[in-house]
Amino acid sequence: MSKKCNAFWTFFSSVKLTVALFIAIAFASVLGTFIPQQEAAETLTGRISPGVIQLLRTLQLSNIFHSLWFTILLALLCLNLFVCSLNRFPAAFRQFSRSRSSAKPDAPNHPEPDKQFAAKNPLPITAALLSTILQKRFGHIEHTTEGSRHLLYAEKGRFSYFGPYIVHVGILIILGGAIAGFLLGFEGYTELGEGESTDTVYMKGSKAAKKLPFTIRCDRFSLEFYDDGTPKRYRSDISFLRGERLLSQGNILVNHPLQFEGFRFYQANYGIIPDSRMTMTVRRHDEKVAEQTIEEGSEFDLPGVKAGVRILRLESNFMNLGPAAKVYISSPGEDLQFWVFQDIDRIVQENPGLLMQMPIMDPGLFKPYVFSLAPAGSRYFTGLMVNRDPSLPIVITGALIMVLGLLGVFFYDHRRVWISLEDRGEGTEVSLAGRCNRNIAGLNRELDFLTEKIESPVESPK
Amino acid sequence: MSHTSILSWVTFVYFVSFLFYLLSMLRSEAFWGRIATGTALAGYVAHTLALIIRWIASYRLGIGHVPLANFYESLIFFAWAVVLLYLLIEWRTRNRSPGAFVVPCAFLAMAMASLSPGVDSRIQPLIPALQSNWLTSHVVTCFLAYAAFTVAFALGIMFFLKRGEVSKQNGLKRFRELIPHPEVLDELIYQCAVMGFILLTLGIVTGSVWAHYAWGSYWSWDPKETWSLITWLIYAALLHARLVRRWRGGPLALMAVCGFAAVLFTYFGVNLLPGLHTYLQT
Ligand code: HEM
Repeated sequence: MSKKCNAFWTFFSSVKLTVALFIAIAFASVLGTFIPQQEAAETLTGRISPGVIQLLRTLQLSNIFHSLWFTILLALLCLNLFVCSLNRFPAAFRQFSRSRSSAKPDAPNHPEPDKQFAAKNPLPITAALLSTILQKRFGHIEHTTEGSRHLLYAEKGRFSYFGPYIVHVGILIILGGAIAGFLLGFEGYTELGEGESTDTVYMKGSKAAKKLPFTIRCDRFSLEFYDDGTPKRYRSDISFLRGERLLSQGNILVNHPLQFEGFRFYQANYGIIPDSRMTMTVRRHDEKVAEQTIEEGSEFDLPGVKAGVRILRLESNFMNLGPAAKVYISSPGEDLQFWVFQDIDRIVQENPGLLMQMPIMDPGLFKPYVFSLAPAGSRYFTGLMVNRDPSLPIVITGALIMVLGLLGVFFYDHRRVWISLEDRGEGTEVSLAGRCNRNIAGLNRELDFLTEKIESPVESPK
Repeated sequence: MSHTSILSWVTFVYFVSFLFYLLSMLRSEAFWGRIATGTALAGYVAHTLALIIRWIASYRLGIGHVPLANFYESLIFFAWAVVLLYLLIEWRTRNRSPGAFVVPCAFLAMAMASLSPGVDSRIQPLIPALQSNWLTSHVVTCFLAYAAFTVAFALGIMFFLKRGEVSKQNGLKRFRELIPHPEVLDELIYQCAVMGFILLTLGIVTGSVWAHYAWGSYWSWDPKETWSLITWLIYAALLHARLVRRWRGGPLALMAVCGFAAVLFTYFGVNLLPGLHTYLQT
């Protein structure tokens, strides 16, 4: 490897870099929660000086988590992780696959004893006792004799060498998946009134329109409340269509998204569409003969007579008497104009005799028809998040691997014990040695436990 | 007796238990220590019962759910987890000195739940955003993690007290002698950090899964998410320092204390940030 390459390698294989990057990312994240981001950043305009806003924008501090420099920090972390893991993996693999038969004191890795003492029991008993205990605690043991010496070796948890690499691979997969999701997936939003349909959603952030390969229709939106008035359920009944053909139907609730052709739909928002239109009802001898949603300029015919109705004006508050519509009626006999007030009953009650004085306010002027005006019913709209993230399975796999690796790091430890027993007539001379890769406290407890067992005289047969 | 009044009593009992732990440290008498443990244990049993009663009560109201759904309930569960963890450690290490440091943390959380204005102790129905099977696993893992970090913090403080200048006063000297050896503390801090780290990882993962179902995005840099990531990074740095650089003692204790500040901010501080959406949206 060239020198330059070496320097690169050394730089990226250092844990100091890792810790520095951890701190840098943590610090950037702190900034990201204190400085208003994205849409919230716009609220700053006018409250702080334009210079500061310009600075925030130049340093991409108003969208830290999607900024170039934050992405670079994450990329450096990935590179660091990758180089480091690659660097250390061969050593870990060597440690993992090192020959087991190192019980013999002349084996290259045989450690110096950590403890030496004389046990009261004679050699055969001590050896048998230890053998059973180790078998139980370690599973596999090696028991050899060398002349009068008994050598025991036990180990467990060799896989623990891979723990950190499994964690790191998991993290790389998560980050890789997240990047892929960012590039390949999308998040959109759409609002649909009850009865409306659309095949277009608007991208989060950029607000660019995106066409879906099908049409969605909101058939109904419903709300439920608990007795105390807290919302209990928001639900949109949705149909998926292609052209006129109904493909599928379903409902979307918060926490229960609906999946269709790789897209997921989430209940994100709702509201009421205030309807500025009014409904005009026409009765003849108390029998309803026509009902129309009207706007200024709308026209309709009255059934039974050759008369057309045209709405000349529609006022939300005419002469301070509330909503009113001015109608023009053209019929073969006569043409007529008059006002229809929504609240005519109340107005007449408050001003008796008004209709006599001002026939233009009489909704029954065109006899025998009586006109009335009412607000058109307002409808709900549902706000749906629409997204597609093909990388989701990757991220989930990464998370699982990371968690498994974590358990491997902290609950497995390569623990090895070497015990040599030598006959001392009445008793036994014991040397104990232990090695581990992480959990020294656990190893010490193990050695103490074994010592206690060996020294206890209780086990000797009578 | 209603569960809220039991919980008020439990708050008081933890305070008394803390005083007994302190007394046993200052006078180094095992007698007071045993009383302290007994008091803490009694408080803990009542605490557990109150949680169960609250749980049942929510079903009586027809809005049954695990008592983990609002700030009050989270504080109560947090204190419960802290005491549980402490009692386990006391039982494992046969050392009572951490009691004088950990039990007051549980007491403070309880006191905050019962006394602080604006913390609503009523059983509330679950709003749609919380109606998820992930609620329980997410909240339990996160708060167990916070509890483990709290214990690590208390042990970190003990570490610095132990190492501090030898005082002339007899009481304090004895007090310090009763604190375990720095090496033991170091090991305990590490173990608590590991436990908290694993639980926090699970908490973040379950939270992401939940966010995926509820909001349609497993990670959206929401302040709470971001702060849990910051906390995670701090403890990841602690673990690397220890596992790779073999750092021991002081630096580790310092990181446990700093990490705890991040935990506190993730728990309480995030709500103070201006103009950001809360978790109870929709
Ligand atoms: C956030 C992403 C992470 C990065 C960037 C990272 C980075 C690194 C690096 C660079 C090393 C190698 C040190 C060396 O070769 O001297 C390392 C080692 C290690 N990491 Fe991580 N790490 C991350 C997450 C984790 C997590 C979550 C754990 C879980 C506890 C972990 C556990 C370990 C362990 C145990 C080692 C020691 C490996 C050995 O002894 O060979 N790492 N890490």
